[in-house]
Amino acid sequence: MRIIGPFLVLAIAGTGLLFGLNRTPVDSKTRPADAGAFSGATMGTTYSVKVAGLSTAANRDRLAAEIQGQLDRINRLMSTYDPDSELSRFNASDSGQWFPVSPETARVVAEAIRVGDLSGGALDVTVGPIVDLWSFGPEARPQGVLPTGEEITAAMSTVGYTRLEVRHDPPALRKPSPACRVDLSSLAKGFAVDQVVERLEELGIDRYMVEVGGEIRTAGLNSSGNPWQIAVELPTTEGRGIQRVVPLDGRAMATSGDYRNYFEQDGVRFCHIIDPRAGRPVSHRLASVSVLADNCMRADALATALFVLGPEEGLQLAAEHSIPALFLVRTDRGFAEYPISHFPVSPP
Amino acid sequence: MTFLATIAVFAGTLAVIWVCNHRRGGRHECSCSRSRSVLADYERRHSSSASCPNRPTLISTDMIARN
Repeated sequence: MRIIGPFLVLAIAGTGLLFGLNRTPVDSKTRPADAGAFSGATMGTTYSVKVAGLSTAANRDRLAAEIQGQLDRINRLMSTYDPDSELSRFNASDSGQWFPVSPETARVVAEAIRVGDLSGGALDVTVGPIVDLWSFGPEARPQGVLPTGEEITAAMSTVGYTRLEVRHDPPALRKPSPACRVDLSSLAKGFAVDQVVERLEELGIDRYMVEVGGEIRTAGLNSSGNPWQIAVELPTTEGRGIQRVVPLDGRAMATSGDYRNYFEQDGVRFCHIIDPRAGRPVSHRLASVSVLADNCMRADALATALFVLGPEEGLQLAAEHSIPALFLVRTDRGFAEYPISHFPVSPP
Repeated sequence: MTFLATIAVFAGTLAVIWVCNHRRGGRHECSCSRSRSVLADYERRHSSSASCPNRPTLISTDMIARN
Protein backbone atom coordinates (compact mmCIF):
# COMPACT_ATOMS: atom_id res chain seq x y z
CA MET A 1 0.00 0.00 0.00
CA ARG A 2 2.90 2.29 0.77
CA ILE A 3 4.09 1.76 -2.82
CA ILE A 4 0.70 2.11 -4.50
CA GLY A 5 -0.16 5.40 -2.77
CA PRO A 6 2.22 7.70 -4.68
CA PHE A 7 1.16 6.12 -7.97
CA LEU A 8 -2.49 6.78 -7.25
CA VAL A 9 -1.65 10.41 -6.58
CA LEU A 10 0.32 10.51 -9.84
CA ALA A 11 -2.56 8.92 -11.73
CA ILE A 12 -5.06 11.46 -10.43
CA ALA A 13 -2.72 14.36 -11.19
CA GLY A 14 -1.99 13.00 -14.66
CA THR A 15 -5.67 12.61 -15.39
CA GLY A 16 -6.27 16.19 -14.36
CA LEU A 17 -3.44 17.41 -16.51
CA LEU A 18 -4.67 15.53 -19.55
CA PHE A 19 -8.15 16.88 -19.19
CA GLY A 20 -6.86 20.34 -18.45
CA LEU A 21 -4.46 20.62 -21.38
CA ASN A 22 -5.36 20.82 -25.03
CA ARG A 23 -8.62 22.56 -24.29
CA THR A 24 -10.05 24.51 -27.15
CA PRO A 25 -11.26 28.07 -26.66
CA VAL A 26 -14.87 28.45 -25.69
CA ASP A 27 -16.69 31.31 -27.30
CA SER A 28 -19.93 32.91 -26.26
CA LYS A 29 -21.98 30.45 -28.31
CA THR A 30 -20.85 27.57 -26.15
CA ARG A 31 -20.90 29.19 -22.74
CA PRO A 32 -23.44 27.72 -20.37
CA ALA A 33 -26.59 29.75 -19.92
CA ASP A 34 -25.95 32.71 -17.65
CA ALA A 35 -28.23 32.99 -14.63
CA GLY A 36 -28.16 36.76 -15.10
CA ALA A 37 -29.49 36.76 -18.65
CA PHE A 38 -33.01 37.97 -19.40
CA SER A 39 -34.76 38.40 -22.72
CA GLY A 40 -38.19 38.85 -24.18
CA ALA A 41 -40.38 40.97 -26.43
CA THR A 42 -41.26 44.62 -26.07
CA MET A 43 -42.13 47.61 -28.27
CA GLY A 44 -42.49 45.43 -31.35
CA THR A 45 -38.93 44.22 -30.96
CA THR A 46 -36.85 42.25 -28.48
CA TYR A 47 -34.86 43.05 -25.39
CA SER A 48 -31.92 41.46 -23.66
CA VAL A 49 -30.50 42.20 -20.24
CA LYS A 50 -27.36 40.68 -18.78
CA VAL A 51 -26.38 41.11 -15.16
CA ALA A 52 -22.93 39.94 -14.14
CA GLY A 53 -22.56 38.25 -10.79
CA LEU A 54 -26.22 37.55 -10.09
CA SER A 55 -26.33 34.95 -7.37
CA THR A 56 -29.66 33.35 -6.51
CA ALA A 57 -32.78 32.18 -8.30
CA ALA A 58 -34.88 34.41 -6.06
CA ASN A 59 -32.97 37.47 -7.30
CA ARG A 60 -33.45 36.31 -10.84
CA ASP A 61 -37.24 36.02 -10.61
CA ARG A 62 -37.56 39.40 -8.97
CA LEU A 63 -35.28 41.02 -11.49
CA ALA A 64 -37.13 39.50 -14.45
CA ALA A 65 -40.38 40.98 -13.15
CA GLU A 66 -38.76 44.38 -12.54
CA ILE A 67 -37.30 44.54 -16.06
CA GLN A 68 -40.52 43.49 -17.76
CA GLY A 69 -42.45 45.93 -15.57
CA GLN A 70 -40.30 48.87 -16.63
CA LEU A 71 -40.59 48.00 -20.31
CA ASP A 72 -44.35 47.49 -20.13
CA ARG A 73 -44.72 50.84 -18.41
CA ILE A 74 -42.83 52.71 -21.13
CA ASN A 75 -44.80 50.90 -23.81
CA ARG A 76 -48.07 51.90 -22.17
CA LEU A 77 -46.93 55.52 -22.20
CA MET A 78 -45.32 55.88 -25.62
CA SER A 79 -46.58 53.21 -28.00
CA THR A 80 -48.18 54.49 -31.18
CA TYR A 81 -49.54 51.00 -31.88
CA ASP A 82 -51.58 50.91 -28.68
CA PRO A 83 -54.60 53.21 -29.07
CA ASP A 84 -54.89 53.48 -25.29
CA SER A 85 -51.30 54.59 -24.67
CA GLU A 86 -50.73 58.05 -23.28
CA LEU A 87 -49.15 59.22 -26.52
CA SER A 88 -51.94 57.77 -28.68
CA ARG A 89 -54.53 59.59 -26.57
CA PHE A 90 -52.60 62.82 -26.99
CA ASN A 91 -52.37 62.27 -30.74
CA ALA A 92 -56.10 61.58 -30.95
CA SER A 93 -57.03 64.67 -28.98
CA ASP A 94 -58.52 67.58 -30.86
CA SER A 95 -57.81 70.18 -28.27
CA GLY A 96 -55.09 72.76 -28.62
CA GLN A 97 -54.97 72.98 -24.81
CA TRP A 98 -52.29 71.51 -22.57
CA PHE A 99 -52.69 67.74 -22.41
CA PRO A 100 -51.44 66.26 -19.11
CA VAL A 101 -48.82 63.55 -19.57
CA SER A 102 -46.39 61.61 -17.41
CA PRO A 103 -43.05 63.18 -16.47
CA GLU A 104 -41.41 60.47 -18.58
CA THR A 105 -43.26 61.40 -21.77
CA ALA A 106 -42.57 65.08 -21.21
CA ARG A 107 -38.88 64.29 -20.72
CA VAL A 108 -38.63 62.30 -23.95
CA VAL A 109 -40.45 64.95 -25.98
CA ALA A 110 -38.17 67.64 -24.53
CA GLU A 111 -35.11 65.64 -25.58
CA ALA A 112 -36.58 65.16 -29.06
CA ILE A 113 -37.01 68.90 -29.40
CA ARG A 114 -33.46 69.50 -28.18
CA VAL A 115 -31.96 67.09 -30.72
CA GLY A 116 -34.31 68.46 -33.38
CA ASP A 117 -32.87 71.93 -32.76
CA LEU A 118 -29.30 70.61 -32.68
CA SER A 119 -29.73 68.86 -36.03
CA GLY A 120 -31.59 71.62 -37.82
CA GLY A 121 -34.80 69.59 -37.95
CA ALA A 122 -33.25 66.30 -39.09
CA LEU A 123 -35.01 64.71 -36.13
CA ASP A 124 -38.70 65.58 -36.04
CA VAL A 125 -41.05 63.53 -33.89
CA THR A 126 -44.10 64.93 -35.69
CA VAL A 127 -43.12 63.26 -38.96
CA GLY A 128 -45.60 60.38 -38.44
CA PRO A 129 -48.06 61.30 -41.23
CA ILE A 130 -45.25 61.20 -43.79
CA VAL A 131 -43.92 57.94 -42.36
CA ASP A 132 -47.37 56.45 -42.93
CA LEU A 133 -47.52 57.85 -46.47
CA TRP A 134 -44.35 55.97 -47.29
CA SER A 135 -45.81 52.67 -46.04
CA PHE A 136 -44.14 52.62 -42.63
CA GLY A 137 -45.64 53.32 -39.23
CA PRO A 138 -48.84 52.34 -37.40
CA GLU A 139 -51.23 53.67 -40.05
CA ALA A 140 -49.12 52.68 -43.03
CA ARG A 141 -50.78 52.09 -46.35
CA PRO A 142 -49.85 49.04 -48.46
CA GLN A 143 -46.29 48.92 -49.67
CA GLY A 144 -45.69 49.72 -53.31
CA VAL A 145 -48.15 52.62 -53.37
CA LEU A 146 -45.84 55.58 -53.63
CA PRO A 147 -47.23 58.92 -52.46
CA THR A 148 -47.78 61.70 -54.93
CA GLY A 149 -46.21 65.12 -54.58
CA GLU A 150 -49.57 66.57 -53.57
CA GLU A 151 -50.01 64.00 -50.83
CA ILE A 152 -46.54 64.73 -49.48
CA THR A 153 -47.18 68.46 -49.52
CA ALA A 154 -50.48 68.00 -47.68
CA ALA A 155 -48.87 65.74 -45.05
CA MET A 156 -45.97 68.16 -44.61
CA SER A 157 -48.42 70.85 -43.51
CA THR A 158 -49.08 68.86 -40.32
CA VAL A 159 -45.38 68.31 -39.61
CA GLY A 160 -43.16 70.58 -37.57
CA TYR A 161 -41.79 69.86 -34.11
CA THR A 162 -41.07 73.54 -33.52
CA ARG A 163 -44.78 74.14 -32.97
CA LEU A 164 -45.02 71.31 -30.44
CA GLU A 165 -44.82 72.51 -26.84
CA VAL A 166 -43.74 70.67 -23.73
CA ARG A 167 -44.13 71.63 -20.09
CA HIS A 168 -42.56 69.89 -17.09
CA ASP A 169 -44.44 71.30 -14.10
CA PRO A 170 -47.03 69.93 -14.27
CA PRO A 171 -45.97 67.75 -17.21
CA ALA A 172 -48.04 68.33 -20.31
CA LEU A 173 -47.89 68.62 -24.11
CA ARG A 174 -49.64 71.01 -26.44
CA LYS A 175 -49.92 70.65 -30.21
CA PRO A 176 -50.61 73.32 -32.78
CA SER A 177 -53.39 71.50 -34.62
CA PRO A 178 -55.54 68.38 -34.15
CA ALA A 179 -53.76 66.71 -37.10
CA CYS A 180 -50.35 66.98 -35.43
CA ARG A 181 -49.11 63.60 -34.22
CA VAL A 182 -46.09 62.69 -32.14
CA ASP A 183 -44.13 59.49 -32.73
CA LEU A 184 -41.32 58.82 -30.26
CA SER A 185 -40.02 55.68 -31.99
CA SER A 186 -36.63 57.31 -32.51
CA LEU A 187 -36.10 57.78 -28.77
CA ALA A 188 -38.44 55.46 -26.88
CA LYS A 189 -36.28 52.35 -27.11
CA GLY A 190 -33.30 54.27 -25.82
CA PHE A 191 -35.39 55.76 -23.05
CA ALA A 192 -36.66 52.29 -22.12
CA VAL A 193 -33.05 51.16 -21.80
CA ASP A 194 -32.36 54.10 -19.48
CA GLN A 195 -35.40 53.28 -17.36
CA VAL A 196 -34.33 49.66 -16.93
CA VAL A 197 -30.82 50.86 -16.05
CA GLU A 198 -32.23 53.26 -13.48
CA ARG A 199 -34.16 50.42 -11.82
CA LEU A 200 -31.15 48.09 -11.84
CA GLU A 201 -29.06 50.74 -10.13
CA GLU A 202 -31.78 51.35 -7.55
CA LEU A 203 -31.52 47.64 -6.78
CA GLY A 204 -27.79 48.00 -6.24
CA ILE A 205 -26.74 46.33 -9.49
CA ASP A 206 -23.66 47.90 -11.04
CA ARG A 207 -22.54 45.35 -13.68
CA TYR A 208 -25.08 45.12 -16.48
CA MET A 209 -25.77 45.30 -20.19
CA VAL A 210 -29.25 46.41 -21.21
CA GLU A 211 -30.42 46.21 -24.81
CA VAL A 212 -33.76 47.05 -26.42
CA GLY A 213 -34.07 46.69 -30.18
CA GLY A 214 -30.32 47.04 -30.66
CA GLU A 215 -29.89 50.13 -28.46
CA ILE A 216 -27.52 49.34 -25.60
CA ARG A 217 -26.19 50.67 -22.33
CA THR A 218 -23.65 49.06 -20.04
CA ALA A 219 -21.90 49.55 -16.73
CA GLY A 220 -19.10 47.75 -14.93
CA LEU A 221 -17.47 44.61 -16.27
CA ASN A 222 -19.06 41.56 -17.88
CA SER A 223 -19.08 38.12 -16.30
CA SER A 224 -15.58 37.48 -17.67
CA GLY A 225 -14.26 40.54 -15.89
CA ASN A 226 -13.77 42.54 -19.09
CA PRO A 227 -15.51 45.62 -20.47
CA TRP A 228 -18.74 44.68 -22.22
CA GLN A 229 -17.95 43.86 -25.83
CA ILE A 230 -20.58 45.30 -28.16
CA ALA A 231 -20.51 44.46 -31.84
CA VAL A 232 -21.48 46.93 -34.55
CA GLU A 233 -23.43 45.06 -37.16
CA LEU A 234 -22.25 44.90 -40.76
CA PRO A 235 -24.91 46.99 -42.55
CA THR A 236 -25.83 44.53 -45.26
CA THR A 237 -29.13 43.00 -46.26
CA GLU A 238 -27.53 39.61 -46.94
CA GLY A 239 -27.22 37.66 -43.72
CA ARG A 240 -25.72 39.13 -40.61
CA GLY A 241 -22.16 40.00 -39.82
CA ILE A 242 -20.03 42.13 -37.58
CA GLN A 243 -18.14 45.20 -38.67
CA ARG A 244 -16.44 46.13 -35.42
CA VAL A 245 -16.43 45.34 -31.73
CA VAL A 246 -16.61 48.21 -29.29
CA PRO A 247 -15.65 47.88 -25.62
CA LEU A 248 -18.48 49.81 -24.03
CA ASP A 249 -17.32 51.42 -20.83
CA GLY A 250 -20.37 52.60 -18.96
CA ARG A 251 -21.91 54.46 -21.86
CA ALA A 252 -24.79 53.88 -24.25
CA MET A 253 -24.63 53.05 -27.94
CA ALA A 254 -27.41 53.35 -30.50
CA THR A 255 -27.39 52.58 -34.20
CA SER A 256 -29.47 53.87 -37.06
CA GLY A 257 -29.37 52.45 -40.58
CA ASP A 258 -31.30 51.64 -43.70
CA TYR A 259 -30.36 48.01 -44.20
CA ARG A 260 -33.17 46.19 -42.40
CA ASN A 261 -36.44 48.04 -42.75
CA TYR A 262 -37.05 49.09 -46.35
CA PHE A 263 -38.91 48.18 -49.53
CA GLU A 264 -37.92 48.33 -53.16
CA GLN A 265 -39.94 49.52 -56.11
CA ASP A 266 -38.74 49.68 -59.71
CA GLY A 267 -35.20 49.06 -58.53
CA VAL A 268 -35.25 51.92 -56.03
CA ARG A 269 -34.86 51.31 -52.32
CA PHE A 270 -37.08 53.23 -49.93
CA CYS A 271 -35.90 52.95 -46.34
CA HIS A 272 -37.96 53.54 -43.23
CA ILE A 273 -36.08 56.62 -42.11
CA ILE A 274 -37.76 59.73 -43.44
CA ASP A 275 -36.04 63.05 -43.92
CA PRO A 276 -38.60 65.37 -42.35
CA ARG A 277 -37.17 68.32 -44.24
CA ALA A 278 -37.81 66.67 -47.61
CA GLY A 279 -40.84 64.53 -46.81
CA ARG A 280 -39.30 61.41 -48.28
CA PRO A 281 -37.01 58.53 -47.28
CA VAL A 282 -33.36 59.39 -46.99
CA SER A 283 -31.30 58.46 -50.03
CA HIS A 284 -27.57 58.75 -49.54
CA ARG A 285 -24.60 56.44 -49.23
CA LEU A 286 -24.59 56.30 -45.45
CA ALA A 287 -25.53 52.73 -44.50
CA SER A 288 -25.45 53.08 -40.72
CA VAL A 289 -24.26 55.28 -37.93
CA SER A 290 -23.57 54.19 -34.35
CA VAL A 291 -23.45 56.84 -31.65
CA LEU A 292 -22.13 56.83 -28.09
CA ALA A 293 -23.63 58.97 -25.36
CA ASP A 294 -23.98 59.05 -21.60
CA ASN A 295 -27.58 57.91 -21.83
CA CYS A 296 -29.32 55.74 -24.37
CA MET A 297 -32.20 58.11 -25.16
CA ARG A 298 -29.71 60.71 -26.37
CA ALA A 299 -27.68 58.14 -28.31
CA ASP A 300 -30.88 56.89 -29.96
CA ALA A 301 -32.05 60.36 -30.98
CA LEU A 302 -28.61 61.43 -32.21
CA ALA A 303 -28.21 58.25 -34.28
CA THR A 304 -31.45 58.96 -36.13
CA ALA A 305 -30.58 62.64 -36.63
CA LEU A 306 -27.07 61.88 -37.92
CA PHE A 307 -28.42 59.20 -40.23
CA VAL A 308 -30.94 61.61 -41.72
CA LEU A 309 -28.22 64.20 -42.21
CA GLY A 310 -26.09 61.71 -44.14
CA PRO A 311 -22.37 61.18 -44.51
CA GLU A 312 -21.36 64.80 -45.04
CA GLU A 313 -23.66 66.91 -42.90
CA GLY A 314 -23.78 64.17 -40.26
CA LEU A 315 -20.01 63.90 -39.97
CA GLN A 316 -19.76 67.65 -39.75
CA LEU A 317 -22.32 67.88 -36.96
CA ALA A 318 -20.71 65.02 -35.02
CA ALA A 319 -17.32 66.70 -35.29
CA GLU A 320 -18.61 70.13 -34.32
CA HIS A 321 -20.36 68.83 -31.21
CA SER A 322 -17.82 66.12 -30.29
CA ILE A 323 -20.35 63.33 -30.69
CA PRO A 324 -18.53 59.96 -30.73
CA ALA A 325 -19.91 58.16 -33.78
CA LEU A 326 -19.01 55.49 -36.31
CA PHE A 327 -20.26 56.20 -39.84
CA LEU A 328 -20.34 53.27 -42.29
CA VAL A 329 -20.62 54.59 -45.82
CA ARG A 330 -21.29 52.44 -48.88
CA THR A 331 -18.56 52.38 -51.48
CA ASP A 332 -18.06 50.39 -54.66
CA ARG A 333 -15.94 47.95 -52.66
CA GLY A 334 -17.95 47.59 -49.50
CA PHE A 335 -18.06 50.05 -46.64
CA ALA A 336 -15.81 52.90 -45.63
CA GLU A 337 -15.52 53.54 -41.91
CA TYR A 338 -15.46 57.00 -40.42
CA PRO A 339 -14.98 56.88 -36.65
CA ILE A 340 -15.21 60.37 -35.26
CA SER A 341 -14.80 62.16 -31.92
CA HIS A 342 -12.78 59.30 -30.40
CA PHE A 343 -15.29 56.56 -31.18
CA PRO A 344 -13.43 53.48 -29.91
CA VAL A 345 -13.00 50.81 -32.54
CA SER A 346 -11.08 47.57 -32.32
CA PRO A 347 -8.37 46.81 -34.89
CA PRO A 348 -9.84 45.37 -38.14
CA MET B 1 3.77 -8.04 -8.58
CA THR B 2 1.46 -5.47 -7.03
CA PHE B 3 3.87 -2.77 -8.10
CA LEU B 4 3.89 -3.95 -11.73
CA ALA B 5 0.10 -4.22 -11.78
CA THR B 6 -0.21 -0.66 -10.52
CA ILE B 7 2.20 0.56 -13.20
CA ALA B 8 0.21 -1.28 -15.87
CA VAL B 9 -3.13 0.11 -14.69
CA PHE B 10 -1.71 3.61 -14.51
CA ALA B 11 -0.17 3.43 -17.98
CA GLY B 12 -3.36 1.95 -19.41
CA THR B 13 -5.47 4.69 -17.84
CA LEU B 14 -3.22 7.38 -19.25
CA ALA B 15 -3.35 5.79 -22.68
CA VAL B 16 -7.14 5.59 -22.70
CA ILE B 17 -7.48 9.20 -21.54
CA TRP B 18 -4.96 10.41 -24.13
CA VAL B 19 -6.78 8.57 -26.94
CA CYS B 20 -10.16 9.92 -25.86
CA ASN B 21 -8.86 13.45 -25.59
CA HIS B 22 -7.08 13.22 -28.92
CA ARG B 23 -10.23 11.97 -30.62
CA ARG B 24 -12.22 14.82 -29.21
CA GLY B 25 -9.65 17.20 -30.65
CA GLY B 26 -9.86 15.26 -33.92
CA ARG B 27 -13.54 16.12 -34.15
CA HIS B 28 -12.50 19.75 -33.95
CA GLU B 29 -14.19 21.27 -30.98
CA CYS B 30 -12.77 24.57 -32.12
CA SER B 31 -14.96 26.91 -34.10
CA CYS B 32 -13.84 25.77 -37.54
CA SER B 33 -16.27 22.87 -37.35
CA ARG B 34 -19.13 24.76 -35.81
CA SER B 35 -21.98 26.15 -37.79
CA ARG B 36 -21.10 29.58 -39.07
CA SER B 37 -22.43 32.13 -36.71
CA VAL B 38 -22.05 35.86 -36.76
CA LEU B 39 -19.72 35.83 -33.83
CA ALA B 40 -17.73 32.87 -35.10
CA ASP B 41 -17.24 34.62 -38.44
CA TYR B 42 -15.94 37.69 -36.69
CA GLU B 43 -13.65 35.66 -34.51
CA ARG B 44 -12.37 33.75 -37.51
CA ARG B 45 -11.37 37.01 -39.15
CA HIS B 46 -9.43 37.79 -36.00
CA SER B 47 -7.98 34.32 -35.66
CA SER B 48 -4.53 33.69 -34.28
CA SER B 49 -2.20 30.97 -35.44
CA ALA B 50 -2.34 27.99 -33.14
CA SER B 51 -2.51 24.26 -33.61
CA CYS B 52 -5.65 24.71 -35.68
CA PRO B 53 -5.30 27.33 -38.42
CA ASN B 54 -8.84 28.53 -37.83
CA ARG B 55 -8.57 28.63 -34.09
CA PRO B 56 -10.24 31.80 -32.89
CA THR B 57 -8.95 34.19 -30.35
CA LEU B 58 -11.27 34.83 -27.48
CA ILE B 59 -12.96 37.91 -28.82
CA SER B 60 -16.42 37.13 -27.61
CA THR B 61 -19.12 39.73 -27.82
CA ASP B 62 -21.87 40.38 -25.34
CA MET B 63 -24.35 41.96 -27.74
CA ILE B 64 -24.77 43.17 -31.30
CA ALA B 65 -25.81 46.78 -31.75
CA ARG B 66 -28.15 46.90 -34.70
CA ASN B 67 -30.42 49.15 -36.59
